[in-house]
Amino acid sequence: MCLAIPMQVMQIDGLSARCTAKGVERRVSLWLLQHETLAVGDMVLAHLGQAVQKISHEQAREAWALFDEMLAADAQSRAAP
Amino acid sequence: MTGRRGVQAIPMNTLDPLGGALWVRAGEPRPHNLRSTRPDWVDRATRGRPARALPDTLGRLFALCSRAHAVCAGLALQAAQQGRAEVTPALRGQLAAQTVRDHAQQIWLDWPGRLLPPTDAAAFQARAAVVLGTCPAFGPAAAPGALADWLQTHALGLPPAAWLSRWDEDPPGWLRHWSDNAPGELPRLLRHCRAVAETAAPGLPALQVHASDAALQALAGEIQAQGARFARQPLWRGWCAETGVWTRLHDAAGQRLHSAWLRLGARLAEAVRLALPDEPGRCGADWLALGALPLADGSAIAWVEMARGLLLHHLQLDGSGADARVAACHVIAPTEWNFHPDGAVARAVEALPRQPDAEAWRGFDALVAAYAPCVPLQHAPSSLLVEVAHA
Repeated sequence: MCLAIPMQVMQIDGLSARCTAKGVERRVSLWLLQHETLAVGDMVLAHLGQAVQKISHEQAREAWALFDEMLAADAQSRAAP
Repeated sequence: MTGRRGVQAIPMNTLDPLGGALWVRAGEPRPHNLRSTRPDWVDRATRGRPARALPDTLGRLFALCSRAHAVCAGLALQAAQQGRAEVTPALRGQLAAQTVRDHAQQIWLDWPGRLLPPTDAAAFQARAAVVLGTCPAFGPAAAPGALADWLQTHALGLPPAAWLSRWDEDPPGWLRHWSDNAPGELPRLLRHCRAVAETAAPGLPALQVHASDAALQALAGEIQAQGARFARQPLWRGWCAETGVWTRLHDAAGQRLHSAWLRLGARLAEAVRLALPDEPGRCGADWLALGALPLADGSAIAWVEMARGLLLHHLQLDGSGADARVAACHVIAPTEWNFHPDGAVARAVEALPRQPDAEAWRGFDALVAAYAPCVPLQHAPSSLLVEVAHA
């Protein structure tokens, strides 16, 4: 389903940005966020190479709290005999 | 589609397990030619949690279509708790705004890569970057008519109401005439892909389960009986069905759009409809159907017509009032129907040669553009599909 990943902007080159989350680096397009003021350190939601929404750090923390919980539960269920 | 020019190594990192992917194996028989590795996070994210938080939770989880999920979950919650759900103009407006934004993203960002040769796609996308920078769908709330004006200038080349009248009269004839004669990048793109996209003609029953309470009750019964398994591979009346902009409840002609090319046209037509003033059953926010049906014992099923097709939320509550908690929640997204292992896309994968040439891939890509999956589509080595099939 339409899962978009919160990532932090590390570098901006015109309409492209280098973003990171959980140690993973991705280059994403900023074409859909041209109406936003974006700076290094900001958080965006990324989906299939596109930054689709600028979000607050608090929103990113809440989203990652949810994802971390699900990933941990998933890992636990896989590890269970 | 990635990995076309050779089998691609399976990418794995911390983020990959979150979204998953759809893996296809050209020319292989169903149901083992199309596999989804998308996890079902809904149950983990919702079960046992306060019901009042459900719209926010699902909106955060599925952030790409956040408003559509939040609206659908809110309707399901209302129906389950109050025995009815009110579809307000505000909800209609939120759904329409999200949907037209998704259409613009599909048309200007996804279509070029799937429908044009790489050099042409790069040139189209470079211009799309500039054009989208002025699109009112992506900015703060725009003035009424701003999106229609933008479409006229950057896509249609004529007033949107006139374009839509011609489409409604004769979709194939008008799309052909317009793409042959109008100036601009978008008609040129549709003209370019017409030959391959017209030959790709899937045909499964249109999913219109929201046309009657009886059909919704029957579907809810299946969901309750089978749970997450059904949500991952749904069937309607025991059969695969397909959903998209051509299966809208208000569009009697949509189901006659049998080629991928006409379905691409239907997406553009719907963007035009949503940009025009409200006209019940034809334009504006009233175009998209949404609602909820209360079921027995604190459960409900809700539906919204979103950009990729019909979204369904089935909810079962434990308790009542402010203390109610989620006993079970299932989300059935459009991609689950269209990319079912026996569904429309799996049939197209089966019809491909095992070593497709560029022309065959272009036809398949046009079909994928019409169905617009919300996860990456990957070309799978046979060993992966065997592995996934037994996972």
